[in-house]
Amino acid sequence: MSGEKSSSGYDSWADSIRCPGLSVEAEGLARTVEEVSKRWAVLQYEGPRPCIWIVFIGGTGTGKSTVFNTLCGLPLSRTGIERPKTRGPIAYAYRGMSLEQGFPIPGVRVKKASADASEEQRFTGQAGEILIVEHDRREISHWILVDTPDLDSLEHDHRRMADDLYLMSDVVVFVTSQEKYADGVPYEFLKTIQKDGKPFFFILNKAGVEMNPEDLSFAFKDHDVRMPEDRFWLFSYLSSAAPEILPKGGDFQSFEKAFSRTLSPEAMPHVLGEERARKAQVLGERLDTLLGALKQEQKASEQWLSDLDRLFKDSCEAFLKGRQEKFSEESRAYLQSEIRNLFDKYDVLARPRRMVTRIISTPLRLLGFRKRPDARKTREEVLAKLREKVDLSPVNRMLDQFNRNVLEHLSPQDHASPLYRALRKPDTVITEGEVKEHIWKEQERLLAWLQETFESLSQGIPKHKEWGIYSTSVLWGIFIVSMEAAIGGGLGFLDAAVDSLLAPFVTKGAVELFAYGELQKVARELAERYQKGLLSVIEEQRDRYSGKLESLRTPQEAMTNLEEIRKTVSNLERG
Amino acid sequence: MEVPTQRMRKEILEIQGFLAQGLFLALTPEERKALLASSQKLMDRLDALSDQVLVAGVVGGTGVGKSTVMNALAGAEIASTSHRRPNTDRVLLYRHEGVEFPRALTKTAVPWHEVIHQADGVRRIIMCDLPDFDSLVGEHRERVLNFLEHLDVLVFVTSPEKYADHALYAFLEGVPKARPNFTFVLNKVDLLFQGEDLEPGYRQLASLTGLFQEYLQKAKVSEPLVFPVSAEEAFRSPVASPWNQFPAFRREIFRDREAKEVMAIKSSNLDQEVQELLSRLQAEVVHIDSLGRVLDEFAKQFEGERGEWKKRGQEILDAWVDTRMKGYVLDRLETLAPLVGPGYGVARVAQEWRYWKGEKREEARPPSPEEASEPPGALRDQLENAENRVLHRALQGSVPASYRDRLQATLGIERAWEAFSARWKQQVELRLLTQRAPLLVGFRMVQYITYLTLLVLLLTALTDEEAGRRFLADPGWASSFLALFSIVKSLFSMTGLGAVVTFGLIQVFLGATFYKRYKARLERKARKTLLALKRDLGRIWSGELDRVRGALKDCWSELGEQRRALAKRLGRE
Repeated sequence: MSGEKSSSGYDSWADSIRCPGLSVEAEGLARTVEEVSKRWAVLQYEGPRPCIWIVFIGGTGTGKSTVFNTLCGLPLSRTGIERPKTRGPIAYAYRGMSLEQGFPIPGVRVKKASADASEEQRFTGQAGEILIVEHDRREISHWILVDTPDLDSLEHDHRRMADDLYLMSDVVVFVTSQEKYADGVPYEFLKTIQKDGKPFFFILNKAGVEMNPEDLSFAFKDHDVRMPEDRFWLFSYLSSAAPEILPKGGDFQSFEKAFSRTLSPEAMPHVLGEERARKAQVLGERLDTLLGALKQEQKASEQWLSDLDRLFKDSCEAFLKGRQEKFSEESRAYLQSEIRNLFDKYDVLARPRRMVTRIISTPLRLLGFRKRPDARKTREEVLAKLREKVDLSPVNRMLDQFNRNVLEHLSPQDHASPLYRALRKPDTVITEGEVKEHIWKEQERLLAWLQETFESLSQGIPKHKEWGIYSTSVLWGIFIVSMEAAIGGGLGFLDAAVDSLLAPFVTKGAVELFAYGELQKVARELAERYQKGLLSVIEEQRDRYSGKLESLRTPQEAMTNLEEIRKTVSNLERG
Repeated sequence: MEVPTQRMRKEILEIQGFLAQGLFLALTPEERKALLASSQKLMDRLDALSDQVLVAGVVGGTGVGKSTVMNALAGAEIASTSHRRPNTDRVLLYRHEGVEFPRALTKTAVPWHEVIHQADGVRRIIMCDLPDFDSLVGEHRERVLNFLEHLDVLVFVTSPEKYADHALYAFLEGVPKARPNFTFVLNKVDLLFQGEDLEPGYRQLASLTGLFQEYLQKAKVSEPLVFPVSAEEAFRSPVASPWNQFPAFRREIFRDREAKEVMAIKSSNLDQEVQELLSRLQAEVVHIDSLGRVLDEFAKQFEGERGEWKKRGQEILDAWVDTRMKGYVLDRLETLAPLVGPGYGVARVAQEWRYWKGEKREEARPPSPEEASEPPGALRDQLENAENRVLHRALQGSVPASYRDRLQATLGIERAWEAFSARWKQQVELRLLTQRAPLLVGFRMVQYITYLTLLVLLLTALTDEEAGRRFLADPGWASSFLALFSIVKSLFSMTGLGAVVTFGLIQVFLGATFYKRYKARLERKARKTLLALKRDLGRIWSGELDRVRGALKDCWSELGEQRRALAKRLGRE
């Protein structure tokens, strides 16, 4: 295992793990990620260092530091009546272990001091810092003794530090007192130690004369903590003179003996081997939990996306249906006249017919009978007319409905969930201005497509059919027809309209017969495209929503990375 | 210190009022019920405020010597002390035989045990030794919390070992009692005075007490009363050491209080609890504000876009009137009665032609007037859009569901649409029924005269000049007969034929002209009717917009009132 590479790999995965908070609590997941990343870092840090981490843990005022000092044989950690006393962890380690390199707990500085200088000067440690006091005692060079801040005082950072150091520990010295042994907080910690199966020494400090081991088992009787006989010591209350008297006491000596025996250099490989494997195992379990949660979250995300898509489709359907129903007589009439105008241009007989009509109709027109609308339009006019005619309000209405539905049905209930917040960000919703811009852009694209289609069409058509001459006006005419059909009547209507309105012209045997099929095809496609263009606004909105979700999902890369770490950890578990 | 019973009563009643009314509240029914129950409890306690007995509770972590403190206070071994932890699992009551057992305590679910004493000096106070709040037995903490409501004065006991425990301060924060009714005892300070030399002990005691006070102040006990004691020593030996402040502590607890002071203690606790209950409603103010913002924003936008809303509605209903109503109006108007002679004939022919040709039109006509006058769905879409918009905003602004439901109900598009439809149909019916086909007497007269003149002209043209002159010179039977005879004679001549054909053509032309004019008149009339109808319906639409605005305004003012009432309560401090 190459430490450097995996460590950089770790960074990227831990930072890129996110969750929308659909099936799991995002905060809980973040905690798991933090724990996993710490455990993984600890494993990598400790791997190449053959020494036992012995961590002293206990409540404030139980005398951890006193016991620690006594075991080190030096007054390193300051003791006293002011609580909490120890502010940051103090480690007692053999010189030259280079513990400062790659210290696995994020945000903790490593500071060094020498044991010789500390003879008179006691340390209290500092928040966010681990103080490593180095010594030259060969016989205990395989130990790293760490005094931690308390577990239970009003300083929350202390508890965090204790938790972090516990992750690093191979052996725990759990110190409590007569007054505190039944306290909730330390007890819960003890339970964790036991559940984890970590080797520990239990020291009940400051015990009164009447105290005996049965009292302890009495307290723990109903609370599933078992106290192994050979790991349990009672240190009696010794007042403020403890540091001088404690080492001479039989209890302490028996503890020290057992301690040295259990953690002798000979026993070290066994202790370490077992502990490291166990750490790997716990990490493996946590990783499994994390992976499980992430997979669950991925699944929930997929479900969410498909729900979103369903909402989207429903919206589109409702929109088109609504449009079809509201297709008015007016637009039908308009459509008819447009088609008529268009096909007039194709009719070879149109010119003579027009002349006859004009001859007949002129006197009538003078009498006020008939008025001929002028149908010719330029391209710019058509576009301008179209823009003015395209009523965006149905699209906007549809968007409002869609947005409401999404928030009503797809937003997580939990206000703290990342997705909840993401869905409500101001940039999520398409504004009316954006709708307009979007639709116009769609139109330009359609125009370009149309132009292209007709150009290619006119190239393929024989000259004598004179398609080319009319193609431009056909183009615009068709354009309007299709738009109207799409806005107003939907595709079903388009077919009917083209059929019923064109039929009379076609049967007259006019030249346009050849164009009929093409026209219908083009009109149809155009209408489809136009419809899609309108719907693309909701599509865009849907994509914004799904984009919000995607940005909260853990990338596949990170998942793969995690799986790989899991594999590495599995190997470590097996030793 | 005055006892503000009246004020508290009013406040509790107000809280209950808020909860009982179906106001905008984001609480679940269960929460509402629980709040009501606790407010009722407070009310009961307020009623029992005149009870003279003071109940003092001794609370603390496990092993700090609560029971020893109890024993030392009682001067007798009433509580069992043990080094075994946790020791006390039930509440121990220490009561004078002459004092009635407090009624409220009979209802408590917390197990208790009672010791009756005859010490008249502590007659007015009931002491309670409570279980610990920090041990591994989580149940104990629950018991303490449940018992708190019965306590008037709280004695917190801790030790040099435990005074910095997080558990103490976490517990302290959650106690709904007035802080001045707290007393703190730092027990077991004898541990600091073990050697011969007392000097370091005093130094340690001072720094320890200072630190403890500092922590307490951080936990929002502004002037903590701290007694460093050794209950053990106070209990064992008759004379306390100079550093042991147990006697002072004892004096403080058992001091003879006047009735008024007892009331003040009790009511200050109650007040604290009432305030805490009120602060539960603080969340509602936040919710109201969030909805208020949404409403305000939307109302502004709606006001700004009102012209557009109106215009869009008008466009929709104009199109509707033109397509749906025009045929009806014309049908109702069109009788052939005002046309006479050839005009009538032309009209009939045109009608027949139309019927023969216009099957499609028949089909396009709506099946019944009832159905035809159904208002256009596009208008409903507009209204629904208003609802969608305001609710989308509400969803964005994290307005709670109960508030949103309320808002939706206030807008009430579903119901409003029914009313709107009814009004709409009524208006349409009114317009269509009241309009009548024009009689056009003058028009008819003109037709008669025209046709008559034409007839006279024809007759004149057919009459032989000679016979005509004779008839004019001497109009009598004979001359008339002669004229008639000449007419008949010329009728069958070529001239006559020409005249009749010309006459016929002119008749048809005139008939067509009259028919056309008649139609134009009808059109004009119909246009007028339709225009009036559009105006009427436009008024109904804008009335509907007003209703929506009014509904939002009502909602807003109702909210505002509730908010003011809540804020008035909450702001009072």
